[in-house]
Amino acid sequence: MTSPEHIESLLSRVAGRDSRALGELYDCTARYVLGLVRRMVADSDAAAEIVQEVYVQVWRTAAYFDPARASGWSWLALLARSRAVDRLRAERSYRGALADFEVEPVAAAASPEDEAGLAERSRLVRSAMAELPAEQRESLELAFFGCLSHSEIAERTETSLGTVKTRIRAAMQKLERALGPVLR
Amino acid sequence: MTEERFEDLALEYLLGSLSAEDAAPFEAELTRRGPEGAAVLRRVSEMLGALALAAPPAEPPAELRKRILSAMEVGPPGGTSLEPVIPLRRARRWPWIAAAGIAAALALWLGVTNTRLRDERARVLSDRDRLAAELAAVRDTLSFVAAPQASVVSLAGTEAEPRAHARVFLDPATGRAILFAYELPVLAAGSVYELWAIAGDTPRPAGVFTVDREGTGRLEIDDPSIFRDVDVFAVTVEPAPGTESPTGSMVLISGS
Repeated sequence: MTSPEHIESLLSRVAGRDSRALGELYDCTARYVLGLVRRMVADSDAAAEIVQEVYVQVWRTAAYFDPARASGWSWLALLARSRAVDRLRAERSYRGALADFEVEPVAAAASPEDEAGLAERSRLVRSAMAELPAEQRESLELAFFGCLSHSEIAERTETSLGTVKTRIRAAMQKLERALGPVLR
Repeated sequence: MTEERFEDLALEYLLGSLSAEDAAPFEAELTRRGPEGAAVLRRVSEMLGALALAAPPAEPPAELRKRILSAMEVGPPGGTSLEPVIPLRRARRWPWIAAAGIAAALALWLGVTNTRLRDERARVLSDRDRLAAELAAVRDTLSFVAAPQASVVSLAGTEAEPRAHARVFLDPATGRAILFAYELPVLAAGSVYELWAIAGDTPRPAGVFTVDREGTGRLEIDDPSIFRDVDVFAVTVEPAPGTESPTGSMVLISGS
């Protein structure tokens, strides 16, 4: 398994207008980018459109990627999330953001994404999420996948704003402890 | 600002849910903290990047990769202005919202130093205002030349510029006029074209203009006294900023 720097190396080549590197980046990451978008956007065609927009935007803006501010995967993931948020805010078609988090087994077969270490990281993250108290996990999911502000989460879950903040902060701290080795 | 509060706001900042009320104090604190504040943002970014992996991976449609790479190939190989989105299903219905989203997404990424995006936003807004002003001017011109009371005078090129030609649209009621000139050469710096309204033997200066790279020029005149009893219109080349009586070569003239 290669290190996560693989994604950054691909981004660097994409910044140099290497379309083959974009293809490799897609092979490494598209399943996870689409997974993220599908978690947020109900319509599968719309999700695919967003993924297309994401990689087109990567092609256009990879030169602005600064590894000092985020890792390659985080840059790509937050870019994808932002595009999905744009679509959600435009269409107001929130998927069931309160749906339980599904912890699915990760395919054991070696695939290109393994080269970027995403499969293993995905497994660790889902495992860590499953360990969180339900109310903490719910608040974090509503903030990240449901695109709700802390105030909106408080309203949705019928709790105080302070409680929501406490839950999200606690969830983040627990995840950070659990994922420490894979975060950088 | 406490560390806890700063981290809470950093999270909301990166999630795009920071309220307008909190945005200014957060950005001020971020600037004040310098590299230390940037490090917090990076740490939260990494947490969110990890959180994105909590979503179950999904297999993209088979044709998606090909569509994306095809879009890359149609763009300029070394360019940076590529905009090759190929709709999978339908055209985007919210181009402005999508454009704003791009800016917002990039702003997230650029984090502390998003000056370039602010500049870009200012440029886009400036372009919008300029285009709106141009559109208003075009509408105004169109309504003027299409007005039933407008009369038209044609000017032909002289021997000096045989291909040149022009038209003056004139509203006798208001004295307002617009000249459109075509196929005139671009003049050297320090020279201008000057329109003359000639009544009898007396030329009255009616304004100066230059032409673009295509040789097209435009001049608007809003002085009814200039056009009183005019027999002939003519255009000469004069030293900038124009003269009181013609001194240079004549390039356009109307029939008397």
